[in-house]
Amino acid sequence: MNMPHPPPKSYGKAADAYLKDFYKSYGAENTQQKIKVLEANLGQQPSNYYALGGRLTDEMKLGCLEYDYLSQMGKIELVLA
Amino acid sequence: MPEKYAKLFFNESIGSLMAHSLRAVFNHFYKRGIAVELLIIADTANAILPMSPTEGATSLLRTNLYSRHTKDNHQHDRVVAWIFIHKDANRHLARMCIAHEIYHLLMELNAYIDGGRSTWAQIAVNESVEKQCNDFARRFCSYHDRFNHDEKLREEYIYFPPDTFKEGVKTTSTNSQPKWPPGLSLDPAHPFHQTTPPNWL
Repeated sequence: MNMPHPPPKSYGKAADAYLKDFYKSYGAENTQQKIKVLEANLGQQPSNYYALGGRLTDEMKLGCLEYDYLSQMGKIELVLA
Repeated sequence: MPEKYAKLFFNESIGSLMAHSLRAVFNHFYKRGIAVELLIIADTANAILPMSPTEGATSLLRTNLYSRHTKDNHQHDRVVAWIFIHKDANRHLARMCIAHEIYHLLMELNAYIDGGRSTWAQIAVNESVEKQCNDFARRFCSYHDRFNHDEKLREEYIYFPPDTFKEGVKTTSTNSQPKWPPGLSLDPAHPFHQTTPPNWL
């Protein structure tokens, strides 16, 4: 049986394109490199992370940093509750 | 404009999950000399918490400490906490998740203070830690639920007295007290900053 794929990650077309160019300009290709580049640009110490109900992955860390960076650059509006 | 912003902020406030609880977290940190910013964010980009079949989390907490020293070597600490919630979580699940993450944050605070405020360290996650967070979330949310279902407490803490909003209210001066609607008062026996825990707590 074919398992369905999870929905693709997307911050919106413009933000996705911005992020792609950003990583390209730093030569960041894999998740680890992208995390380092984002942390450096955000000027932050490495964060602490806690995931409920699932294993914490680098992809999850990367997502957190991407939200932060794109929001600070005015490329996305966070959906806040 | 006042009407526009009253509606705007009211709408924002009813969507602000666990607002009282998050204020309690802020107060708890502030009393210990640390400011805390808490953001509750829906993972609308599927960037962190993907749907099944991938084994994923329902929420995620990310924290950072920003520490600086003044010229007289006084330490100012500010913690920023981002709580990401699965975009499809309903309000009940989201509130339980937020409560769970609050306990992780509290553990970090306690470790930071116990360690002499030198390092904002990651707390190793194991079954016991997760169990404690779940236990806290269940109890904390149940207290709120019990409070919310208690008409006597709602009258004491939430409802404005009848006729409060019939006319414009000037509360800028204590001298205008005789003109205030019934129920609004300067009452040294019941000031806003003193609360009595419910008898079931």
